[in-house]
Amino acid sequence: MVPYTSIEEIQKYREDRIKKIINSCSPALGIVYENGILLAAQNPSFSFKKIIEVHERLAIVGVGEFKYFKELADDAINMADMQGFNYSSRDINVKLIVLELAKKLDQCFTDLNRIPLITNLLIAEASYHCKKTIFSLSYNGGIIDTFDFTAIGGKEETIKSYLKKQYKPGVNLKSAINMAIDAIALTLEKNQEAITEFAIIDQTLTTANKVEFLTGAEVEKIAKGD
Amino acid sequence: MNLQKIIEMSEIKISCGLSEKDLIKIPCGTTVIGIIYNEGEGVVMAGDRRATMGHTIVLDDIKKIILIDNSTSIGVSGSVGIAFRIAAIFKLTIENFRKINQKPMTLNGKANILSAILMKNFELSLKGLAATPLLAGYSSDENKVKLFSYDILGTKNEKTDFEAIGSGSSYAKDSVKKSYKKNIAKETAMALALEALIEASQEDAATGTIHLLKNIYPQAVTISADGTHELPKEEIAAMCQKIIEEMKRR
Repeated sequence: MVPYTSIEEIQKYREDRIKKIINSCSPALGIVYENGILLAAQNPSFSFKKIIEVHERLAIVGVGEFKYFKELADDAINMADMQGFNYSSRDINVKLIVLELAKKLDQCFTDLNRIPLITNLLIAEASYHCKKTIFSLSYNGGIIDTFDFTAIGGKEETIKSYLKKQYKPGVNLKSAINMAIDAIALTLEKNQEAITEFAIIDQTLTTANKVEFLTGAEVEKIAKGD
Repeated sequence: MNLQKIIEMSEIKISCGLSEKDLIKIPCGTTVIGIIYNEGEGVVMAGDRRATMGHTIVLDDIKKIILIDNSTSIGVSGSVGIAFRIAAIFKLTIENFRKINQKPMTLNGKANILSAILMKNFELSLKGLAATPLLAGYSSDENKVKLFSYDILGTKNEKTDFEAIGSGSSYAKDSVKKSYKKNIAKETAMALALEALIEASQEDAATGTIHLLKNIYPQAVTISADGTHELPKEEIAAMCQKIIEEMKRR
């Protein structure tokens, strides 16, 4: 005999399990600076990179389980490439991509026959008309758009309150990188090292591709000197 | 996203056959030549700027060498619309691979993909709408440059010295054959390529020459470990003037 559990109990069990996993994973954050958007993520693994480039001016960061995040990132890449090939690269509509991913996340979370996708994401766009937006998507399909800074993952409230005190609109890249390094250092335990990935979407680059991944040496050089 | 989906999404279906009279109405004809210099250190590609339709010149400034990414480029010949569509699908497949796998495709992979795309186009090419490209690229695994030429079925042939495609290809190759050596320098290879184009334009009506009224010169591209560079117009103009003066003295 199968014991009866109501649907609300099953949904609550799912939500608790997902929240526990996401609150215990490494954080990621996004900061808007004067020429574009800076993305940073704490990543102790060397094989899988958390920041993925979607198109010329779009990038996506995820926390949680990497296998579910990669599936969503692949969907975003295919949608952006189809739109760019059929129309042109300036006709790519980020909001359509965000709505499609949110729909998929919600359907997988609510339908009891499907596995929930245990991941929170940030989608950052620095558009051609100089509008910079960061969309934050949660595991149940909720969308929040911000224009200055945001954070996801474990201990996100600590990072957000720290950035709220320090952030001013129009900061330059050096201050943004220093803010990100200090914010991530706040969330680490005593014996944990900071292994961070950085990427910028820079509107002043002359190549067509505005997404650039920064190596550790470059980040140190910008943070100290210049 | 695999190749099948990309091509299905943008496919043209022609159900009626084309007669001989209609073939004259499609723009085609060209010469594009590629020469490897300094024992595999780099490759030089040059192409003319004319598109003809039967006996009339339709365009006199199209660019037939398309830069795909920082280490490859292809030159096209045959019908213009089909060739540019093949190049766009090729570029899309390579960019998509790089973003999903987070590392770029090797040169052998790109050569195989172009083969598959041409094989898909076989139905149309039997009716007269054919395109034969010339692929040149730098392979960072083997640290050398490779040149591939294709036919309408998609068979790829790797060449280690030089190759030309198009209606003026035999005239261009004849002019390079006698002076080519494996260890020539980059400037000599570029001069040989431009001279081959000028000789081909004297014999073949579908290959364009230097347009004195509108100041239009052939297009030239170099590929090596430093990347792909398209030469600016002033350099090509200066080289062409020198070549023409030498040809007058013969």
